[in-house]
Parts: sequence; structure tokens; C-alpha cells
Amino acid sequence: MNQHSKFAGGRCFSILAAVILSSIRARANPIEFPEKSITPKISFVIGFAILLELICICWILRRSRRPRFFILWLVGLHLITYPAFLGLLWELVEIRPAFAVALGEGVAVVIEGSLIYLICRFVPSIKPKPPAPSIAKCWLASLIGNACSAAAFPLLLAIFERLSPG
Amino acid sequence: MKRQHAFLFLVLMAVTFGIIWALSGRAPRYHGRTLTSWLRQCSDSPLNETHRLQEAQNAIRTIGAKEALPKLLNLVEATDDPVSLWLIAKTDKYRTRFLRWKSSERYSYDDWQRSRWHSAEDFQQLGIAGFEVLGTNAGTAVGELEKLLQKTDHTFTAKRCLVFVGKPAELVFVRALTNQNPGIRQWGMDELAAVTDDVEVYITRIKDRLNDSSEAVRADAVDDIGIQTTAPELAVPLLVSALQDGSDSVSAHAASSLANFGANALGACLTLSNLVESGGSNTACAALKALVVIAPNESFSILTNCIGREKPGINEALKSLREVAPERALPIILDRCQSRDLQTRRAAFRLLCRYPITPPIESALQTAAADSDFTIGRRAKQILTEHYQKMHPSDSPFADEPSFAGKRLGDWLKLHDAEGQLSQAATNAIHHLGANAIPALLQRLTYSQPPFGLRTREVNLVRMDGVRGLIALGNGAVPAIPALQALMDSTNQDTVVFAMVCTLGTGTNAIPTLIKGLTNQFAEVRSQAVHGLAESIALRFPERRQEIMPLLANLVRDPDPEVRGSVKGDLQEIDAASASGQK
Repeated sequence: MNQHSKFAGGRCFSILAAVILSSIRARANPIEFPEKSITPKISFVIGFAILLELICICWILRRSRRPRFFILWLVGLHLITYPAFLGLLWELVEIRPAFAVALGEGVAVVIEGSLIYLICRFVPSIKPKPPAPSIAKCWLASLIGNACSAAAFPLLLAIFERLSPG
Repeated sequence: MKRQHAFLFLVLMAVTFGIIWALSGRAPRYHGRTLTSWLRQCSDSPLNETHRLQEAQNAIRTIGAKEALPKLLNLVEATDDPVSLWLIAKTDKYRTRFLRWKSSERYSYDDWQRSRWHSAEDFQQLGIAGFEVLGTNAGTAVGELEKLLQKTDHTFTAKRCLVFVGKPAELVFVRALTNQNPGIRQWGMDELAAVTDDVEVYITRIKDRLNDSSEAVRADAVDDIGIQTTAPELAVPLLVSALQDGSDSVSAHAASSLANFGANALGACLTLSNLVESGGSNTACAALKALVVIAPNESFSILTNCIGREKPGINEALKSLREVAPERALPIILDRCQSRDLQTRRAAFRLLCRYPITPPIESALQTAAADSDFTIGRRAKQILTEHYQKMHPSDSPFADEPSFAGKRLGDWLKLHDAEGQLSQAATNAIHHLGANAIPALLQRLTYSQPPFGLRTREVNLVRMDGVRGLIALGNGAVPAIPALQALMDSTNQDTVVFAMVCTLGTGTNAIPTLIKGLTNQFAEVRSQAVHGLAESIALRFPERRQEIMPLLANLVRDPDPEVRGSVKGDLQEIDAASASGQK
């Protein structure tokens, strides 16, 4: 059991490192013209919205079995799912923006919920006592988290625009 | 637990297939590209990129109306929602939405156009482009398009699409005539004309609009009937009845339209005559004009009567009379050219200019050339100058100019680049001609066009040839300096500047002329003299700076700010040159 735990921890760390490193290499917005590079300010807004989502998920799953540093796992998860979400929007550019974003968010909820379920179930927990969350609960957590994030983003953007006009 | 895993697996599969379905889905395709992609190419291609445009049009036609129409209707029905508008606004502002693992060098404006969010209007434009390509093949969509006509946000798009559908939309246009929206009723009338083959049918369809509640629709109906000149027996009675319309504007439209029928509208003369006297201001003007066209001889007395009473609309009526009976109009026009009223004189003069130049016209133009109004005078002089040139085509003012290597001086002077720099061959030829060229060059410098000495573009070109030639002569132009100095006393600013510039090729010999320019009455001449002394003398001949600097310094207090600015700039330049020379 101990051996398995060590192996699982090392594997997870490698996956997380690979995800982070690949994300750095990907340079999420390498387009120079006429695309603007993501400014630190707008990155902060996006990052804050995602953080809010992660806090929601952690709070909803607080009584369920979770791996150590669960929030870091969720951060790692978003390093995959957020670029994937943007990529999906890119592909859906020919449809109405609201519908494209709704579709993208829906897909993100299902995939993130499923991945959270897998993380909680298969990554060793420090407290094995609480039961692992059900898939429905994970989807619910993902849904609420994404809803909070989506609702907070326009508000944060409005605050950001008010604080830094022009 | 296994059941739960299987359920999870199924959900993930469903999501994956859902994404694939959404992305590749049911969109009609041709050569691997979606209909939307071809529509975008069609819509974005400039008209001069015929190959690109043709390729897209062929693709859309190949996809066919049956496959394309559902998508096209979907596009033209697109509506903006607040969320989409917000997303478009924010992503346009921050442009941070995209994620692309590709080289930025390959990222073009077209890529951006393709990848940005699109508003409902963008989608509607794509739909319109599709209907334009499919034309009458899209006839099955007219029902849906007719429904869209009623939606305010889609009326424009639906109208455009229906116009492109053409003949199959004929009944839609007919029904549009009774639409509650006056704009659609007007549109229906206009478009119906394009799809109705029989003029009788067309007039029958739209004649009820002459009694429309909207004034604009009635006026439009009058105009539409008024251009059906192949059916005067149907159109004229309707237009005559429209003359009695309660609206001055509609009656005026009817009167103007009757003029289109010429002698076929003779029956309307009596009504028109009455309207000249009793109609509203617009109607009276239009009626007089129409009368003059329909019956120029019979209406002449009415026209002269109106002129006598200075009624409005005379100029327009006179214009029409000049077109249908120029000989009858001429005495009136000549008379009005003498009017004390400037507007009357100008209007009459404009008409006079349209006559071929005969002795009485030429005489009138000579009088007009001396008119106190600059516009009339200038135009009359131009016309008479053109006429003079036509009458004296072989009169060259430079007949005695010298030649070199079989080419006349004038031909050599034309051999210059866009910046006015003479070619080496031309410069050599002018050097070879030397002092023999000077009289002809000076003659060019003072050239003016007979008989009025107008300063036209051609005159400027000839004068510039003279300047160019004298500069090219270099020191060879020294014998011309006394004559150039004499020209410096001219009251014409351009002549003085040209004369002064001509001396610049002679090096220090130009100094007296340039110094003379420093005290000229024209600021432009003073400014050019300062510049000439600084650039062509002080910088090129440092030993003469001592002599020149005090003269330039005097102009630091010149009344003209541009001269002061020019002096300061040039003095600084000389200082800088002196400093670098000392170093």
C-alpha cells in the first residue's frame, strides 16, 4: 500500500509537472498581430475567476475524500481544461457567441466534473476515511464552480475596467 | 461501482461525440469546406479578385439551393442577444480569446477576420451573399423571407435577399404593396418593376398606390408610373389625376413625370398651365418646366410671362427649353446674361456655355469675360481660350527656338523625370545650345496663354520648362541675369519667384538677384531669397558667408512669420555648417 502510494504520488507529480511545463511552452497566446498578448491585468481577472471556481469546488467537496493539495490538482486540471475550452471556442467561431460559450461551458462542466471524480477516487488521500464523492456530486461541484466563475468574470472585468480606464 | 464507471464512460463518450457533431456536424460542404466558409470567401472577396469570387460562387452553386437554403435562412434570421453582444465587445477590446499553437508570422488579418466572433449582422451578410449567388434558385425560400419582412430587425436583410431571388418573389412584392409599413410598400413598387414583364400589368398593380395614405408612397408611385414611357395611354391619365393630389410634393412629382412623355402628354397642358398659376410653389415650377418640354412653342408665351413676373422655377424651365428648342431659348438666355441679379446671370451663363460657339455666343462670352463676377469671368475666359486654341492650332509661340541633334529645345526640355530633373542627354543638349537657348527660355518664363493671358496648368508647365532650362545652363545663364533682374520688378509673385530661381544655377552670380529678392513686396519671394542665399550660396561658398549673414540677420525681424521662421532655420543650418567646418 505504501509502495503503491509512493508510486502514485510520483506519477501524479510527473503529470502535474508535464502539464505545467507544456502549458508554458504552449504560450497560450502567441499571436502578435492583430491579437493583443494577454496583459497581466486581464490574466489576473481570468486567474481570479478560475480561483473562485476552485474554491467553490473545494468547499462543496470538503466532506468528501480528496487528495493532498487538492487545490493544486484542480489548478493542474485547469491548465488542461481552460486552454481546451478556449480551443473549443475557436472551433465554434462560426456560431452565435452566446451559444458557443454556453456549449463550451457545458462541455467544461462535464469534463472537469469527470476528471475531479477520477482525481478524488484514484489519487491517494491523506484521510481515507471520508467516502469518495459520487460522479453526480463532482458534476454538481463543477457546475456550481463554473457558474460562479462565469458570473464573477463580467463583474471582475467591470471592476478592472473601472480601476484602469483606457 | 463498476456501473458508475460505465456510466461515466458513457457520459464522456457522449460529450466527445457531441463535440465532434457540433464541430463537423451537418453543415453542407464542398471540397472539405463548409458552406459558411465559402459564403465568407464570397462576402469578403473584393470584386477585383474575380478568381477568388468565382471559386466561392461556384462552390455555393455546387452545394445547391436544396442543401444551402436551410443554412442561409438560419443566417439571415440571426439575431443579436445581450450576451453575444457583450462577448463581441469584450473580445474585440481585449482580443484575448484565442489559443493557437502556430507561428505568429503566419497569422494574418484574414485569419483574424475568420476567427473573431460574429454579430448577427455579419451572419445576415453571409446569408445575403448566399442568396445573391443562388438567385432565382432560392425561390423556395420566399415564404420564410416574407415572414422576415415583418420583423423590424430583419426587414433590410429580407428585402435584399428577396431582390436577389427576383422573379420567384414576384407575389411577395405584390403583397408588399399593401404592407402596413410605408417603406415596404415603396420597396415593393420599385422591385415589382424589375420582375413584372408587362407594363400594363405593372401599372395596374401599382396604380392604387396613387391613393396611398403616405405621401412618400404616392410620390414614389407617381415616379414609377412616370417612367413607363412606353405606355402613355395608361400612364398619362393617371399622372394627370395625380396633379390634383393634395400634396404639393406629389403634384410636383406628377408634373415632372409628365415631362417624360413629351408630346404624348399634350392633353395635360391645360391642367399644367393652370397649375403654373395656381399650384403650390414646387408644383408651379415643375408644371412650367413640363409645359416647356411638352409643348415648347405653345408654352413660350407662358414662359415669357413668368419671366416678366420673375416667378420661381424660370431657370429650370429655361434649361429644359434649351434642350428641346435651343434657338427659342437663346434670346432669353442672352437677355438674362445681362441681368443685374448675380444668380440669374450665373444660371443663364451656365446655359450659354452649352451652346456651340457662334459669333453671337462668342460676343456674349466676350462680355461675360469682363463680368464683375469672378466665376463667370474666369469660365468665359477659359472657354474663349480653348476656342482660340482650336482656331489657331499651328500658332506656336516658340517657333524660332534653336535645335540640337535634330531635336528642338522644347523637345529636350520635356526630357525630365517626375521630380523635374532633366536627363543627362537633355542637360548636355542645353549646354551645347548655350546662349542661343536663352531667348527661347526667357520667352517660356514669361509665357501666357492668348488671348487673356490665363494662368493655366499648361502655362505653368511651359514656365517650369524655362526655369529648368536656365538652371541647367549653369554659368551659361549669366547673360540672362539682366533680363531676369528686370523680371524681379514684376507685380506677379510667380514671375518674380521663377526669375529669381532661374539664377541659382549661376553660382555666386546669383547673389545680386537674390539680395534684391530679400526686399521684395511678396513674403514668398523674400522667403525663397533667404533660402536661396543660405542653401545655394552660403553653404556652397563659405567665403561669401561674411557678406550674406548680416543680410539674412536683417530679416529676423521680417513682418511675415514664415519669413522669420525660414531665416532662423537657415541661419542655424549655416551655423552648424560653420561649426563642423571649423572642427
